[in-house]
Amino acid sequence: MKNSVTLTIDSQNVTVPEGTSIADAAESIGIKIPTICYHPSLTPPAICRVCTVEVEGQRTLQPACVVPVGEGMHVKTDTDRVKTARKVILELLASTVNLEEAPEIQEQIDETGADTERFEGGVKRHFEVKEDNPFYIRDYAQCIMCWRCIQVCADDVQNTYALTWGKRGLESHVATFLDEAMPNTTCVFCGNCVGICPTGALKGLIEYRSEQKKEQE
Amino acid sequence: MSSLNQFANDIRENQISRAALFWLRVFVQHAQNNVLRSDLWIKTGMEEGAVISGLNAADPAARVALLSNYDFFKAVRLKDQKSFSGKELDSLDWNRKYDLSLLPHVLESDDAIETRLEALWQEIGAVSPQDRAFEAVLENRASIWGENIPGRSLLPEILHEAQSIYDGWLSTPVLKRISRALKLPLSDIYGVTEFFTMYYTQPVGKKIIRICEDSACTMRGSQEIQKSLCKNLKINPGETTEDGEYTIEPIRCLGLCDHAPAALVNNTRHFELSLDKTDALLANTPDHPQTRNKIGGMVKIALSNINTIDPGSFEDYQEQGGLAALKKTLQQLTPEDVIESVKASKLVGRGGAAFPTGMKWQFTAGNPPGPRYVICNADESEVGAFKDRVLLDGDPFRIIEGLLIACYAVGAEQGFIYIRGEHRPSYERFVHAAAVMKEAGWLGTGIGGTDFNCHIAVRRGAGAYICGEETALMEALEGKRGFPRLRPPFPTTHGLWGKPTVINNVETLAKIPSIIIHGGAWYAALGTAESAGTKLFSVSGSIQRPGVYEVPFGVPLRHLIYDLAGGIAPGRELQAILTGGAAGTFLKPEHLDTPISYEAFKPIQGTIGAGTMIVFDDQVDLRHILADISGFFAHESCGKCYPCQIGSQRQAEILERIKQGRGLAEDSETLLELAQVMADTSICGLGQSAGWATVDAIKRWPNLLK
Amino acid sequence: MKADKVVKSTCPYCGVGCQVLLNVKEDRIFRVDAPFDEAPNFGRLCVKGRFGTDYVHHSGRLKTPLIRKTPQSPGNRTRADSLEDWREASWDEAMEMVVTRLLDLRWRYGADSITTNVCAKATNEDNYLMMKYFRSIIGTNNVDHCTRLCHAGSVAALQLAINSSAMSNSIAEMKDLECFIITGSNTADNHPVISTFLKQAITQNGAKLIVIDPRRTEMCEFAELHLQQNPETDTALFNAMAHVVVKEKLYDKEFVEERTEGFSDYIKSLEEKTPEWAERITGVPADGIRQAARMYANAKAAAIYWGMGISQSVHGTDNALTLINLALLCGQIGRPGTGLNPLRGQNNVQGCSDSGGMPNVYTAYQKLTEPAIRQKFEKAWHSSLPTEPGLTTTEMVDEILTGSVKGWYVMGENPLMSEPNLNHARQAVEQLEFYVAQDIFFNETNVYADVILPSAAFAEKEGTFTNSDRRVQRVRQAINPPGEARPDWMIVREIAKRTLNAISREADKHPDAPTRELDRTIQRNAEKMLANWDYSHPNEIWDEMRAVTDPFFGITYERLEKEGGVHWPCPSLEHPGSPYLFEDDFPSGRGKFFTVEYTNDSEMVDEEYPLFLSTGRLLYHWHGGTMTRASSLDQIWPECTVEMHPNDAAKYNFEMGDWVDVSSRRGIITARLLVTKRSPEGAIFIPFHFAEAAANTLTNNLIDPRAKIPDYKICAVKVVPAESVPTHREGSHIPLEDRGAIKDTVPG
Repeated sequence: MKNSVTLTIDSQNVTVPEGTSIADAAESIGIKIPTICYHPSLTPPAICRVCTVEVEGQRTLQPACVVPVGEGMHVKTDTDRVKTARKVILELLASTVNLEEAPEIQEQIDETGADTERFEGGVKRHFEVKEDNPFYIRDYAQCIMCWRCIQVCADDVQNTYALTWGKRGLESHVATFLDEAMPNTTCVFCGNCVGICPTGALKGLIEYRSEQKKEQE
Repeated sequence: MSSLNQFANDIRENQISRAALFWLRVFVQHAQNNVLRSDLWIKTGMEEGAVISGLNAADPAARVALLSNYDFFKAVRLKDQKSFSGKELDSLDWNRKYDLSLLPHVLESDDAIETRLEALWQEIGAVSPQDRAFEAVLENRASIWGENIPGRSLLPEILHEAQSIYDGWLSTPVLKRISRALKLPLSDIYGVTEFFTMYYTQPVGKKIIRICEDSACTMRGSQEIQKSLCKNLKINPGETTEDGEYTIEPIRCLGLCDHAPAALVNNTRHFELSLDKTDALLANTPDHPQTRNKIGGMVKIALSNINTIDPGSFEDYQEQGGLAALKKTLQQLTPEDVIESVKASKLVGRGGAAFPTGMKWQFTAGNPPGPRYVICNADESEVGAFKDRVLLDGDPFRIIEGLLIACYAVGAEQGFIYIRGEHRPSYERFVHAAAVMKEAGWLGTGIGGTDFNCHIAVRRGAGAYICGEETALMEALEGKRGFPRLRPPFPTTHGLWGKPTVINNVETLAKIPSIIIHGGAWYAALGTAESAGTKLFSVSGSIQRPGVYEVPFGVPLRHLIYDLAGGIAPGRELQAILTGGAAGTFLKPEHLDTPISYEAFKPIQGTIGAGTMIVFDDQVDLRHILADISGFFAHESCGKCYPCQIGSQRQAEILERIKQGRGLAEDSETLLELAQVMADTSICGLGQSAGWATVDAIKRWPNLLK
Repeated sequence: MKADKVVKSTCPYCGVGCQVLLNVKEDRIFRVDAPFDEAPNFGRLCVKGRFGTDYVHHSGRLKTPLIRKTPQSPGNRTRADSLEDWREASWDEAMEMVVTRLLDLRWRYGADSITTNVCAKATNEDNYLMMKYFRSIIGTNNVDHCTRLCHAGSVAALQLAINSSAMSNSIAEMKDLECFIITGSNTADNHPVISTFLKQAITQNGAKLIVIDPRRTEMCEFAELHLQQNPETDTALFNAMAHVVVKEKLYDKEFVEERTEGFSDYIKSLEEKTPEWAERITGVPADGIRQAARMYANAKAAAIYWGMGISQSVHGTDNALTLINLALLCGQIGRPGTGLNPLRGQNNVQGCSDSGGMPNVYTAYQKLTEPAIRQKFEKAWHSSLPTEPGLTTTEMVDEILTGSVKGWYVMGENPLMSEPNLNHARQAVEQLEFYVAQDIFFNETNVYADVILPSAAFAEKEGTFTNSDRRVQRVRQAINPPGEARPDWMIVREIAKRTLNAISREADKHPDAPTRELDRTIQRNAEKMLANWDYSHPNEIWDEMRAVTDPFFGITYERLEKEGGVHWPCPSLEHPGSPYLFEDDFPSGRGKFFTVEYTNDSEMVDEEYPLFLSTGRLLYHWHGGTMTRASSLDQIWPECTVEMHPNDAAKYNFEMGDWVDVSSRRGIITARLLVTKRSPEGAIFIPFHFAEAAANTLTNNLIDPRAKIPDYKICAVKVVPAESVPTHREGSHIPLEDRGAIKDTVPG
């Protein structure tokens, strides 16, 4: 049996098993912490940082999706500092990619009051839709770099290793070996990446085609 | 014997695969009376070919080409005795068996064909010299780079070697060969080549000219030199000349600020460039030694050997008292004694974070028994930082001695030195030093006749500033993209390959031997109450004598800037000093009399960091400097976490706009908020500190960005 | 795109039984997802499940009952590939014709002149009804399905040794593995989702894998050890492993003493079977055999996973017995992460067998030769039941040729793709007097039928499938069937009722019929039987089934709704189900060791036919190709390929993409060459999905004497350049290398 740990989240006492993440502990008392990259089936990369919260005694905000609870910890999830962080991260994201088909992120934008035009005019991630195989398309203009597809393709699920990262910084993107078309890679078209993509960046060809048809009509 | 000569020429000119020579040789060696049955020929060739690395004997193309392109052979089908020769041989049905024989004219010559063929084989072989060289690298990788090290971690080194063998870039077949050798997915390898700017998956010029674009160099005209070069070569920065001779590549801070403006041509350093000396760049013939150290200071500890000994000579090093500390350690001290001594010295990490070194060692030593590592972080690539480079170039044995003492203290049997990719001469120094020490019994097993075993592996970076971040460096050492890790867990318990790891800066390790010899108290007494010992400073920019200066903590800033570094050029005024690097703070003339120490810098909000001081005179527009610095961060962001990946880019864009005079009223506000969010939420120090200089500048000059 | 509705169901492809979420808009499935929090797949799918279910919307779907325009007669039966050859009929007319013609044969030649193939792709309920119809109304046990062609060897062996024939572990247990053997299974291609869990057991938990297979399949990339034995030498290899275990005293003495019998005879039989002896036969170095034996025996938890490579053999039963011996010897069964796991091929091949779709058993392998069991079913079905086991699939073909079988009712299957030696099977089909098929597409077999009844695909009906690890899961209707197509259970229900009525009405006209006894019983019980056949939902069929089947009793539709799936045996409503079996004992009490001697009865290579042929599946296709070739999947692999080792290719001077003729003593096909190290030197591999180059034209109809399973994995062939190149197919212009043909994560 795991030991239990008691802490406060937004001044409420909560007791959870050792090793529970702050996010799960918060959820157990009805406090929903927003996340983007997090997916329960995958190793959390903790890169979107919208789940960061204030932990007393810590210099920086802490990602609630991965940081485990500690005895006597005091966590605050809705301070101005936390709210500003979430808002600005969403503003940054909106300035970079097309979020039209990411309903969960849209909701977060509405909730935080993020100004999606605040950072307008900068470099965006611009890619043509890649339609290079019979099963799915890749529209990386909608890719938020949450890494889920890379993770499912690699150690977290499929062990197929068709995907990797190209470049770095803002130019980083999901890539294949030498950016080859999918059929030339090790891809086995399991589509586990499509199934776990939180935006419209990866989509089955049948769905994509019927949307295009609907648009034309 | 013209047809065989023709064949040899064709191979030399790549008109036919070298594998054809292999097949011909197999034929001649196994033919009886110059006849060999087709199936036997293939079977023997397959078997013999399989053990020649780099040769693809299974590809029938070379064999068929040999048969049908040269008038060497005749084939007689066993079934019906039908005879084939010349081009007909192209269409043989290989389900059938044939008696193959060499035509008489091939045999009619003075020398036996065997002799001629052997000569050709000796000259050319079945594998191209490049392939042969690379196969040798792959085959000997354990002895080159260390035994018992997981294969993947050799990837960066193998990529470097492959580039140097294969004309400076990595072709698809080469990458596939590496993939097979290391059992690594191609995508993984590609991800690594994409992360590091010094790997190329497209052809590049024979000479890659990298001219530094950072503050110290631009202030001395590096951009004009680049423009002029580009104009002469008729290319844009980042492009390769049509003849494949030159590639011009802009680069941020080469760490040669004491020789600004500086450039790198392939691995060769070029100092103090000027518009009238670009011929030296194009010819890659600098007229100065690769290491020319500009140093100074009153109390030289880390610098004591610089410019006084031959850094390639282990004898010189020992004559100056080198190895005494290691001998003392091994003969007289327990690991606990060493840690106590380092703790007593109050030495803190010189890479910028100023974490007490003795504590770090103690944490790591305290882990349950098992493998552990010590890494020397020699990936210095901060804007304006070059003090480690001077140590690396000038006194490699001291660093290795410090590293060995650290390994002894924490119980590690394997140490690593990770050297910035652009510092190729430093890398070569260390490879040499490690080899010499190993030869002398001071590295490897049974060091100095004791039972202390320790191996040191020297590794190169490949153009990623982020790998100076300790967890990113570990990822890179493991052969992956340099993404910083989430913390906790910390390296002292979960470092390299998940094992306890100490990672120390070059300067930190350089101080260790003296501390061991003279004792911790001696070192602690050199500085102030709260800042022990001495510190190296890289002073550059608008200054008369840019260089590396070692001073005890407590001396006034003025002493460093004016007495040691010579002050500002005549007729100019000091405007500001950027201390602590790109993520540092701006000190003003009024701070010149502040003592240099952690405690004295605190009230004036100055940063010591890694000891970088970039001096700006009154001619410098600080808005340009801020735009440059933020551009550096945007370029060097690894792209892992959102706030840094996007935030550093947006910050750079806003500052660039301001630099161009297109600032908006809300820009200062936005920059402050952005900097705060990046500091609060970024995974690593790069993102967290990317906005600090801007925030500091706004604080000190509220109207600067308006 | 926003779905009108999202319906949870079970994937129609392999035996993993992945849970799928069918996203439907305007009665069309536009996206298939998987729930992340549910067994067995936890959000994972493979290419077939995610992108390959669009066959349900294919224009070739059968939409109305069809009757042959030209009446067919035995010996002159022809193929009718074009709709022109058929006329659309009403359900009424078609069913009337089926009933009349079947009864005609039954009254003239007896019930055993009719046979049925039930269907490993249909639901448990569909299959239960069909076998019930044949046993209780037609009056014959001639019920079988393609399990005969896939795991009959494993089933026979498991029945002999421990009297149970299912996988002994659940998929979720794979995380507990410390060491496992995969043999005769190309898991990554054929059970892709299971392979992801196995790969993770290796890459995340450090489990050690031993692959024992002549082919270098993808799993070899993850293996600690790959033993590449010569084709058909499995028993020698596994016996030698057992020899090592015994000689080095690595076996589990306690387990052997308490839970097994026949040990002393068995170890005597191993005496001469040294690794060196096996090396001479198998070509596997003796040290490799020793290493494998030690790894398996010494692991705290070790399991064996196998596939068709073991069972589809003239030695299928022997092969499986040697595996079972090894598990019993090392006590690697009955604990989490241990066990014997035949990986089932089809989505519901487990369930179809569980539902009584075999000639010798009722549901859950209750033997029909045992009077008490038979009486239980007679009581439940209000009929008298035949007492002798019926014909197996492979025997049916032979019995048609001898003339004793005249009528054939095929639900869903496609024997003229899946039987070995197709030319032989085709001759048989041509001899039939009456042939009714029930299907969703035309296929290579039902084009010979007199009547075709259009049925509903998986997404168009309700029911249950049972996956490879014995988990019963729901199938739910997401869309409407096309045209007048109906679910199989409804069709069988109607046919059965009509048959009952016809027998009651007309049996008196056939007083001398061989089925007189049964006819009288039916006449007597007609009312009860009709009422018994009055199902309004598959739920009711399942309830009837679990009432006569103790191991299913605790599984109800209500529970499936709540729990997602339940592993049988589950004898009571409170029982949690059984993810792993044999914790305390075997159904047979003690596990029996069987002595197996290495023999070599398969067709061997010679001067004329110098290469071995093995057949099997590809990741992108499914069995006879009926479904996948009508889906997006056909675009990535549009034609048959012949896998050959580069050294053989060099020897014969072939290159990737060459057209070749492959022939055996039984036939010839033409296909494209795929040069890859997947196949060992001296052996080629051809998938059997492609009707235009049907691999089973070449295979041998030798069968295992006990399991009656054919020798699909070995026969002798020759490969020569093609005489003429087949007509162009869409997509065939793309070079093979660029179609995603070779998917090694590390180039080989």
